[in-house]
Amino acid sequence: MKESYNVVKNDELSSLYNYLSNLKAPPPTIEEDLVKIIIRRENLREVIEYLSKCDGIFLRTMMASDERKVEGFFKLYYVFGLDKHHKNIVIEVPISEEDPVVPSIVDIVKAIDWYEREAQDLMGIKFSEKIPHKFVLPDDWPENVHPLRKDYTIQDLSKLYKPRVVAHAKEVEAEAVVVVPIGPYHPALHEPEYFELYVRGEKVVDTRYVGFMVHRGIEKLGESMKYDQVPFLAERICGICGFVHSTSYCQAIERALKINVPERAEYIRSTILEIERIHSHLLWIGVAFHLLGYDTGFMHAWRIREQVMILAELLTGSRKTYGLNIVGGVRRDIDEDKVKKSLEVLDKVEKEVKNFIDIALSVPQVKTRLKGTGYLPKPDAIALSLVGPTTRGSGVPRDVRRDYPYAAYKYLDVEPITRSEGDNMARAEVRVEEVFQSIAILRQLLDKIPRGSIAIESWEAEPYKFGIGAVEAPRGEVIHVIITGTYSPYRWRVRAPTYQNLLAIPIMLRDGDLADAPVTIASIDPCFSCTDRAIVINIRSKKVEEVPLSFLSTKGLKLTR
Amino acid sequence: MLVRGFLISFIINIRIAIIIINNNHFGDPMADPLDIATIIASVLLYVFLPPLLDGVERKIKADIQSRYGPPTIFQTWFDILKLMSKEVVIPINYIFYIVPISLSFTLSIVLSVIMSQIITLSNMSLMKIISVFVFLTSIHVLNMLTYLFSSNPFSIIGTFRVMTLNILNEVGLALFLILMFIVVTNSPCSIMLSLFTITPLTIAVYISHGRLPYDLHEAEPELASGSLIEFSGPILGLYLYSHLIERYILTSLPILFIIYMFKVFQNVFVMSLVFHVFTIVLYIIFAVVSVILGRSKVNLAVKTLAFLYFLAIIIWIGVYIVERII
Amino acid sequence: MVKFVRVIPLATKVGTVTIKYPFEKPLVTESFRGAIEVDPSKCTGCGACTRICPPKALSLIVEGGSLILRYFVGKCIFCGMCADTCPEKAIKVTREFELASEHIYDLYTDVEHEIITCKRCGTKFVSKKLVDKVRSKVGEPLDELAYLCPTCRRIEMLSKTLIFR
Repeated sequence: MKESYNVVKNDELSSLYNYLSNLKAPPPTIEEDLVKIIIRRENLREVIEYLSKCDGIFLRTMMASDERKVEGFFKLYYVFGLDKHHKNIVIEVPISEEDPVVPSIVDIVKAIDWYEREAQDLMGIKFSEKIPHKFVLPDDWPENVHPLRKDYTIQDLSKLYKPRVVAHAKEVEAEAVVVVPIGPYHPALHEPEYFELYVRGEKVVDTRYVGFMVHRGIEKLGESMKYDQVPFLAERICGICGFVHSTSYCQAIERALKINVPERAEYIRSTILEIERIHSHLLWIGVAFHLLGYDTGFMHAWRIREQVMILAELLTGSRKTYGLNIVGGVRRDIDEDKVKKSLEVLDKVEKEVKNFIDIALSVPQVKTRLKGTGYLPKPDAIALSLVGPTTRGSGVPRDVRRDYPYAAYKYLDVEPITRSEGDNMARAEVRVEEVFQSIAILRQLLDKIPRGSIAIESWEAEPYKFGIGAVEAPRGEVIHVIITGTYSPYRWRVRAPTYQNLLAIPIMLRDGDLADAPVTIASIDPCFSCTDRAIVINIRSKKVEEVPLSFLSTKGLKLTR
Repeated sequence: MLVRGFLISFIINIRIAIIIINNNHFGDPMADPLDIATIIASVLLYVFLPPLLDGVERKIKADIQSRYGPPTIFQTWFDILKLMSKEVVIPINYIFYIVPISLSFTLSIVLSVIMSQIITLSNMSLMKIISVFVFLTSIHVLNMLTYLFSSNPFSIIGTFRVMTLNILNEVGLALFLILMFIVVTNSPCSIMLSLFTITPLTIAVYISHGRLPYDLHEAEPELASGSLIEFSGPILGLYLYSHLIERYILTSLPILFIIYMFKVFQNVFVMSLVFHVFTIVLYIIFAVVSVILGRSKVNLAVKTLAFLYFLAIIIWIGVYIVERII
Repeated sequence: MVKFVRVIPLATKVGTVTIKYPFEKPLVTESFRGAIEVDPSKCTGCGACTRICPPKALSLIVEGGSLILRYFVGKCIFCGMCADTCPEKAIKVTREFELASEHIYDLYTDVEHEIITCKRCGTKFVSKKLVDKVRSKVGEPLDELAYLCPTCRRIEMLSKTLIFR
């Protein structure tokens, strides 16, 4: 495989194993790409401190799970990754029901902040030194009802929570309920979220962000659906990168149950993933031009993208929600005709994109407004464990296709594309280069696609197995963590890349101009449907506060002079 | 309350228009019927052509963007009429809201009368040019009064931007208007010098159009329609119409000087027609330029413009001195 | 320096790419998945499709003395899993996507089946076609139990065993 990475620092890995084995805890389970250890919560901070000193370690995700029926505890799973060694390091911490308090590790690992808040809201686990405010859930959610606990089913929750508006409408006997959104809609942002920029003149001095307006409870919903129905739900997590989520889910199940997917299915999955990457990046380029006022660029970028969408429809049956994945393989095949057609379309797209980007990036306004704005320094990108083109534009070479190879990338060599400047132009260039890289990868894949079946015949579901599936989405790294059940997943965790990347926005907006704000926010390629969390960051005082939604929507914006 | 507000502003407008037009004769001899007919035709063109031109511009923009755009070129007329038919939402102190916007509309029409008069009767005087400039500036100021009426932060930011840009641009516009007047009314009209004056004048005119790359007052993705955020219904229709007329008037300024320089046409009617045709051509050239550029930032715009005007003045002085020597 | 002006010749070469839908037909490829069509002659009312349908657009209901397979286009996500799962291959995926209507009852399609009444307790439980099909495959051993509902079948089997004792 990738020899050059394994030669160096193998002793580091063994010293890590030594440390883990010497803890007062059951010995770690070591698999090919996974190291799992169960520790007590008293030892948590010590272990995390040791881990954070390892070279090249990144936090990938954290999951809280309600396993009281199975083992009698709540469990927290911290998933770290050592990119160079292609290893996931999973720390399991059982927490008893009577005393659900865990020490917070946010001072050691900055990136854990949102995960802890989410676990607090949805599972009811208290983190010491953390203010228990509502983070994900709306403000009028009933107290002490934690939806992800197994005490509630989906039907219970929909009866339990009645929004205030509906209740009041029933009181006054109104015929129809009309909810008027105040605040979260703005022409610059294509999904509902709320950025409050404190400006002095034209300079931005402070940022507030309130999100989670489209939180749909997908993780809980997935627990009530059968295994083969969940990929269709997963695909609708995001409107642009849906296939990534369904692939990631299927991979998580396949890892947990040790299912071997046939090679042809892996190649087909990779092909569709790369097609999705091309169309997502072209979409982003168009949107960036629109935000800069260059509408002609927007129209032409989307015109070129249209050919890729038609190709996707020819290959899978639908322009966006492909419906191609099931656990164990794919549902549709790609025959010779379609391969030939794909290669024709790819040639055409490559030529047009080269020509068009040449013209578009030479428009003087586009050049001056993208260069030097929205600067993200490299140490920040590493400390916050950012992913995707956001971090690659600041010189950090992280790419799931190389670090934790999956599907057909095991048989290919993918080098992450990086730029070192860290401004908006660098991120735009990374995305453009990735389009060309994807076309090259697609040519390789379509050339070498092997014969065989496209899905395994049948598979058995065993409950309570742990699996991680990770995929490189156009925006960064998508991770799904699964604990299997008998007919449906017992616990399903989705972590989308924008969840991780939003932490970078206050840093990028600091000391910038107001006019740069929309482009900077767009340069992380936010996909709020995947994400949705709420946080308030005061850059100067380093305080983290919570602001209830009703307060924001009635008081409106304030300006500081 | 609504009716009273509109009545009051209507009366104010009529009064001011009459005063201006009366005072604007400045001792001109009474004109003959052909002249009066030409003036009236020209004023009608000024008033009714701009929305049509805007429709043509939208079609051209759509062509460059590989799409169809609006179904007919009369689309802007339909839009304005539709806006006029919507409900009026005005605050309690309506006077400060309705009067400035209707006044600026009246001024646009008055300006078109003055311009038609100038081209038909061929009597350009410095007073007339200065009064044209003063009215243009007043239109901008009145518009800004209306933008600032609401305390919406987007509106305030947009107004500050357009104010910054206008202050700089109007200096350039005034300067090159006066210089052009001097060049044109000098008997041996030097072509070289007029070229170096008309180019900065055209650029100043383009910028006061309020188009890309300098449509900072209305930056839609950044400021959610900036200064226009509180306009709706008939007020927005009125503003849009007045803005289009003002654009057309601005475009006709350089053409006015060019035609004045080459006084070839004896027939007044033909001269007016040629005047309008060239204005339309210049407008369309501006439209094509605005489609292929992006939007600039306010601090960048200020730096670029200051540099540009400074350079233009230096070059003008240089050419003037060289001509004097030769 | 003025490279950006080249967008004008580019646009002229490409022309207009949008079409005047609905006055012109849109481009739909041959693999497009639209609404489904259930063939009433092949469908046996087994309900396999209702179990796999992710949004539950297909449902099996007993109404007015017959068993009805109801397809609600409003919930359908056009995934085609029902067509893959149907043992009789009675479901076909068409390329219809212009499905809007002014009346909601246009969006429901029903396939009716004659229902069997249990000989013992009188509950209606399964379609006649399914029972006939299963009988034709299994043959002799099933005859007595074929027209009994599952509860009564268990009672019958149990009482038979007790009798043998």
